[in-house]
Amino acid sequence: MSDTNHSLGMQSTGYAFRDFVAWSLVGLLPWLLYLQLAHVLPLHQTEFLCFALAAIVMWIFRLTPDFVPGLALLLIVVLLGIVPREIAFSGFYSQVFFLIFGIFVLAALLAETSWLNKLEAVLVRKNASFPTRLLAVVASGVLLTLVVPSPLGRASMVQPLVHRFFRANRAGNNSFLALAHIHGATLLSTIILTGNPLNFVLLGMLDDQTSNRYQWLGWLQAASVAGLVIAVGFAAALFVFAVKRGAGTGAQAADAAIDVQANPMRDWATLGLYAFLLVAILTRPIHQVPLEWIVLSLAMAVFFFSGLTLSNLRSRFDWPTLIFVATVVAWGPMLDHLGLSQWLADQMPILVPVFERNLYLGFAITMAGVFVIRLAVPGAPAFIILASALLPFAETIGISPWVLGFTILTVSEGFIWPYQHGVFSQNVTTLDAERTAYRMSSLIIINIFFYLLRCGAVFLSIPFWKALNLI
Amino acid sequence: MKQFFAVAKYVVIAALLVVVGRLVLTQNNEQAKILVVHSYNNDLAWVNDVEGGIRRAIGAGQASDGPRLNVRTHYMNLRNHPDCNFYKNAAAEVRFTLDDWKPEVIILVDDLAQALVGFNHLILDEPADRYALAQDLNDWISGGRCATPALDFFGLDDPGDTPLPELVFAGVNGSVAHYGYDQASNVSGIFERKNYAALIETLIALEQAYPGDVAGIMMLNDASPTAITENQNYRAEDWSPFVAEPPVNAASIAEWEDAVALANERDLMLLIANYQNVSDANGQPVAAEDLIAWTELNAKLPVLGVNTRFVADGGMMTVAIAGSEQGEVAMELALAALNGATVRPQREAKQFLIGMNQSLVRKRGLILPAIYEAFSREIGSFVPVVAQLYVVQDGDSE
Repeated sequence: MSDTNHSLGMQSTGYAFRDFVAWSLVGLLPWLLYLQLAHVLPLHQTEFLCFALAAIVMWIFRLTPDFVPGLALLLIVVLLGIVPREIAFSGFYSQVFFLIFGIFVLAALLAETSWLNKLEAVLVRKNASFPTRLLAVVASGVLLTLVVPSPLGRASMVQPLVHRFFRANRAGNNSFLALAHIHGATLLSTIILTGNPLNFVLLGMLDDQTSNRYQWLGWLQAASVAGLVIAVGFAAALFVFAVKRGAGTGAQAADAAIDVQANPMRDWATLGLYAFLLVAILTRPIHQVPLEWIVLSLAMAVFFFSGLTLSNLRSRFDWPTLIFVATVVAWGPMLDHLGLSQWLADQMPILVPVFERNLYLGFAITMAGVFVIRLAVPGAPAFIILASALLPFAETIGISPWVLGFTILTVSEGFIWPYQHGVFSQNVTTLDAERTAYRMSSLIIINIFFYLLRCGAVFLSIPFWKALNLI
Repeated sequence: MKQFFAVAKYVVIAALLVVVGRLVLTQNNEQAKILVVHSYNNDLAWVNDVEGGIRRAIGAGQASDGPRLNVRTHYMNLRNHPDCNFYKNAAAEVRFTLDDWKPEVIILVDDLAQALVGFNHLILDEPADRYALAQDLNDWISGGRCATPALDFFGLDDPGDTPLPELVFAGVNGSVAHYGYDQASNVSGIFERKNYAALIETLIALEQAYPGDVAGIMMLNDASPTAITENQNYRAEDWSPFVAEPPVNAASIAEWEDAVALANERDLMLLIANYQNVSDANGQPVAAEDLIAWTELNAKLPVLGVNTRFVADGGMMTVAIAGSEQGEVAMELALAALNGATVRPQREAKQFLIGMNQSLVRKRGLILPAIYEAFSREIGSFVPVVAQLYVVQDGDSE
């Protein structure tokens, strides 16, 4: 007992030391940057870059919830008069803000429905085979990608479906089930606009005339080849697992009793709302109402019809992510306002001739850069750093900023080790906590495969993007 | 009974939503959609001047109970990317917006937008040879940038979907026959042809103020399609009392320097309109400020700009067409077309601007009529004496 206490004590000392070092770096690194830049750039530009670096360091070390450094940066730049308030807080009234707000309300409503419980009950009752279960897990993850914009949220929603099918002594099966769960929830997240909060950040960073093109269907069209490649690769991998593991037994009858607290009216109404949304997306050329207003009206309708109570909204709605996105969407306009976009683009003179001479090599270098940065930096800040630096650069080389943003996003959402992605680390933590047998080496190997699949999908999309006149 | 009221409540809510939804859709339908397509980007003062004029006309239209408008602006940014591939992508991006948004009127500003976007949306008269026009435009757009590509490269082979919108052009220097506009029934607009009378008057004032000999004038521009058209207009104009020497289109800094040397040698006053697309020895564009500062320093005779930004870029004096008038008239023509006007007029620019940098005028020791200073002060394009300018211009480090 005292040993445990001792090791816990050591661990907490370690954490405290890490936090101390990290907070020191929050002060030290911007100071060093200031010394470096003070003679190169005017005061306001230098100050902005230093405070932005401080925010990035806070994100890297996860010192606070993600939205805090973003909001703190806006606060300080407004207080110091570096950027006008209208620009700094423009994310809070951008189309992206209302789009996410609406989508989150709909997702919160979906989380209240019992569709996944029903699916779970059916699978248990029918004593479904391993391939069927695998398929159910993947299909749920992929379908939820259409409607729930948070990979972590999707993974949590599918979690009960997976959890029930883990078997104590079948490490192989468990690993593949976990993989299907993790990748089902994450692989297509950048292919569909509403699949990932960072997609909205990218949309918000594009100027108006460009972002109009990448509303729901436009985004899907431009990402379709990448999506197809990833889907085919994923299906092939699953097929191989399923054939290899086909002999697995189903859930035991004793597990079968599932208490589904159903509200059929809400279940069907939710599906109806999503069907309405789909029709509205498909008929946009006719009605010309922007997507964010459609989504927001549906969210209002949810409340008019008492679809969500206030307490459910409080527990299901992801306010921190909404605020986080609103704070980072303004990075592009702030950099533009300060004239830093072009300065940042000019800091990469080596990349220009590479892209001009060999597009594929340019993309390969970009993806390698994303990989290296993602070794140390979590997904969201990595994307913000890379997008702020590279989107203006896309203009310089005459590539659509969306293409470069999408490439960064798709590769940056990939992961190999648990610390690199919330969904993976949460899964591993759950598996460990429940003492479920699994093979980490299998997970890592398959992750590497999927990482390469993402890179391949980008490469194979290049001719398609050329045909769409985006490159 | 309780059940009944619960259901009835939802029926009332649903009915309210339907009414509000219908109201939104009806009002959306009643809005007239106008897409403004700029060939360049809003980093050019000219583009912002045109935008200012457009906003003024919208305000006036709304004040006089004009149609409810939904105006979107699209910048093709072609000046910053003078290469064929970018032109192709930028044109495709506008086509995407047009297909998706289907505006009733497109206002096209400056020459390249007419070729890359306007041409595809013409309602051509019966005898017009669309193919021949497309071939010519294809050659013109690609000229000096890339080998003439197939007709589908810039999308010139693909007319827009019907119903075709009304087209309003602005910022066009030469003729619009080139774009097929003279053979189409859905085009009106305003030309940006230079105010030659005002230019000649200013050249005379400069000649009189200059102590040395003036043998004639020479136009010097970059080699962009707009600049080539500019030089053609220069050739066509009667510049008397001046002898107009053949114009030069300089693609590189070396060609530009040679042209300035030639003008010095032959005592010619330079006229400069387009200079953003001159490349250095590495093929990179030379910054406009550097190029004009160099020219001002090295040209023996006074140099006259024919461009809104010329003085801001370091030139001594400019006589330019007012961008705001272009935007205002274009939007007025767009509103007239929406109101069902049957005539499609093509107007000439009437308003011009004068810009002047007093430091450079003094440096050359010129004494110009006071009206130039007064007018350029009034419109905010007057640069007063700046002591530092002498230091920089003289290369003196003190």
